[in-house]
Amino acid sequence: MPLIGLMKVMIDFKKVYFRYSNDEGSPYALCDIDLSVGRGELAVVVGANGSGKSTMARLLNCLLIPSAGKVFIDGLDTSDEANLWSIRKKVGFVFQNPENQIVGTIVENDAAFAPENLGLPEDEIERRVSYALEAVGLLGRREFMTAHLSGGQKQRLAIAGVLAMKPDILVLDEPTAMLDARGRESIIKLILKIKNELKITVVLITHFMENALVGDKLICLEKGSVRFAGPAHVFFMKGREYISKFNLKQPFGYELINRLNESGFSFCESDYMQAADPEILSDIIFRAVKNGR
Amino acid sequence: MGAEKTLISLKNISFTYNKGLPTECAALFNVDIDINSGEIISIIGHTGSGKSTLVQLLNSQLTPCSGEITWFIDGIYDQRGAAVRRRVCASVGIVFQYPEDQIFEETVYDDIAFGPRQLGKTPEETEKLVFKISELMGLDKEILYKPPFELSGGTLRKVAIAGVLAMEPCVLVLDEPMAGLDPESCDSFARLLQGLRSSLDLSIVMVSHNLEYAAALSDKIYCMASGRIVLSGTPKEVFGDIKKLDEYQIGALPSAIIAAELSAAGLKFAQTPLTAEELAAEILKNYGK
Amino acid sequence: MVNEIILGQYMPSGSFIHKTSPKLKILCLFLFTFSIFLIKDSYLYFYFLAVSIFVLKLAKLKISYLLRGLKPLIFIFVLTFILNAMFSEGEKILWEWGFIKITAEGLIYSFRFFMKVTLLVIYATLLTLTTSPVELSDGIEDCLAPLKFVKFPVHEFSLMMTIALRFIPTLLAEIDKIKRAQEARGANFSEGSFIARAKNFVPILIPLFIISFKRADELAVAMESRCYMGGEGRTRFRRKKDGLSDYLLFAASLAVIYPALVNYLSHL
Repeated sequence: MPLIGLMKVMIDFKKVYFRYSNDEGSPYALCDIDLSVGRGELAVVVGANGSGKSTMARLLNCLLIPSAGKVFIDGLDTSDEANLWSIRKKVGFVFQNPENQIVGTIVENDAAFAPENLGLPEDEIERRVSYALEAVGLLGRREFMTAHLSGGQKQRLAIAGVLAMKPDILVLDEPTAMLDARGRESIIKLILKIKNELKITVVLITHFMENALVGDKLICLEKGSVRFAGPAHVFFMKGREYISKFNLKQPFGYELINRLNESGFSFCESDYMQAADPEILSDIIFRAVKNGR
Repeated sequence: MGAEKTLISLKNISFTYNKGLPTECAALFNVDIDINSGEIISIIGHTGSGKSTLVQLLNSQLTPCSGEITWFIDGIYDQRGAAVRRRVCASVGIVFQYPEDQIFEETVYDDIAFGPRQLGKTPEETEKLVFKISELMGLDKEILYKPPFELSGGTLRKVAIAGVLAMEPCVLVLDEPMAGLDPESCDSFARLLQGLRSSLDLSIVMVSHNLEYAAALSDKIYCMASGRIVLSGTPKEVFGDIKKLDEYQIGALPSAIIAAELSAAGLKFAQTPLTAEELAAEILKNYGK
Repeated sequence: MVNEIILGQYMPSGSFIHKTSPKLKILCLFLFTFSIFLIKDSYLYFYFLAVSIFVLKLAKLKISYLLRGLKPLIFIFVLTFILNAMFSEGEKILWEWGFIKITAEGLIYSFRFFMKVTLLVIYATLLTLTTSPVELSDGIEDCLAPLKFVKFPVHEFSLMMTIALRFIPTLLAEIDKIKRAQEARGANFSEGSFIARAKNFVPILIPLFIISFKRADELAVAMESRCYMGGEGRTRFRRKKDGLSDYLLFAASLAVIYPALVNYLSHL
């Protein structure tokens, strides 16, 4: 596990409070948030509906500004207006509905939108469009009409549109919620590829628990506060009851080991960490049964 | 629940979009399905497997190119004729994906009342229906007089479904009803469906690719791939057939996969476990500590 | 869902007309339209008709494509012709019945009107057959560019067109979906009086409006997140510069319309 101390901090929340209205007595959507994400990390944010996940995400690219406290993106203060466009360039934001992010009629024209906005010269735009479309696997469809893409492909195009800015950070707010099973799979694979190959820092907001396991760090929000920030396996090991407080469920392997442990087995942390793979899990259980553990 | 009675029967149904035109596209081949009273049936399959086409055939918005659909409801035996089609539409209520998109009236009450009013119900009958259905759906009386745009997505979805139930269908067909819902809402929705089945004596057809809920709720499951039914049976039968599920790339329940692996290694399982709880119980039953 | 056909029948064929700058093609359309309205002698209408067939052949397209564009309008054209013929003023009366008067002048006038309108549609169709919607929108933006000097929001107008084009297929799919959902609730779009059917469009239009407003909001946020800051400082991807062949084609068009100008001037 990479240590924050040795790694450059890309996202830093310092005592952040946020509420949508400045009226007296209006409730805070986020309270006293202190957390950080290091360069190259994949942070997964989970929590019940209304826990503040989306609000927190929108503080990352200046769509929202903290009511109190500070958010720093690669050292830049988001509340400083002078930093606005530099931050927007650094933080690529992908939203839930693939349909409502695509501006262009043709795939490559849409991917070019961000570079055009940045006033880049034509040959640079061309390079970035090819780079972004290749990264998401749509290079072969660059001349297709966007209307003919499937949901999963549209979302990949949305990601390409953002990669064309060459951002340092990629934020995805429930990117697979409106996709079918195949679309979800392809997006998660793509996110991991982007994190590993392009070395981009990723913040993924999701309510699919299987996706929660792929990150370096899990952040759980409840009613606007951070209840947990650390390795995903530690969170899920805390048991069904603890997790259900946040209206979440354990991933399958964790629930199974949990129940077996409740009935006398003694699986340990390293077993939990391998529980995502059904073959390994079966192996572990079989050995436990045979050895009477 | 009473004796099982077939409400809708599909025999050897095939359907092709744009038949005869250059954009012709075959969607269903030789599909056989029986929907019986009081059952919850799941139709699972990926996008493009023909599920959505099937949904529209069930309430006669589409007519099959070959084969026969028979509705054993209210003496409707035939799928021809617009008047008959409208009666079928009322008896087979369809809730499309993201149904909250169809809400248009100024108050929740009026939107739920749209269906009954179209059917020619009197204001008193309509009021009774709206109140009855809203209560079953867990919608408070105050919500009924609010404008829809003030409500959350989950509540809106309930309103949309109430609008379909207010037509008193015998069969409720839901196309991806849990699309876009978070886990907590999915759970409460599942409980709601079970409640509706018993209080309204409703048959429910869920067209979805959510394997977990299909296993938890259904009496019977049909698996579709490339326009055909490739596997059908009770949840335990369907999810126990790992080989076939894999062959058609339908996906599988993690509990069933692990049970299969452990079986192969020598442990004994009485039946296919569908949840972690059942799997743990099976493991413990044989070798409990 | 195959939707390119709805947007003006773009038919790619790789001809040099297809490759010509859209801005110049639009200007040619204006030239031709202007000339057609200047014509005094009717034989020139047939001249322009012949020119349009010639251009069609240069664009390597079939006549049936052109006719397809005319088909929906044929009824209106014929109706206009008949009405004009029946009610125009003139001296040489050929046939009379009640207040319907068919005169020789009336017939000629109707014929001329018919030809003007038909030729207009033919040339507009030629434009849309040889120019994709994206190119058309770029071309219109280029043609409007000079208006920047009178503070006309050229970039915003062009972006609006692009986004509108982009969402037409989406809107059509949504209309279809909402229509099916309301039909499943008993809404009737095929029977009943005209007023009843018109009322039944409310359950389609309102949800469509709501979806569209929400969409506009989300799209604006997504665009801002991609650093959209308005038209200032924006560059464009793959903007074809006008070349010699484009200017030659424009010059050729000037030559083609010359007879019409001469005809007009000679009648002054």
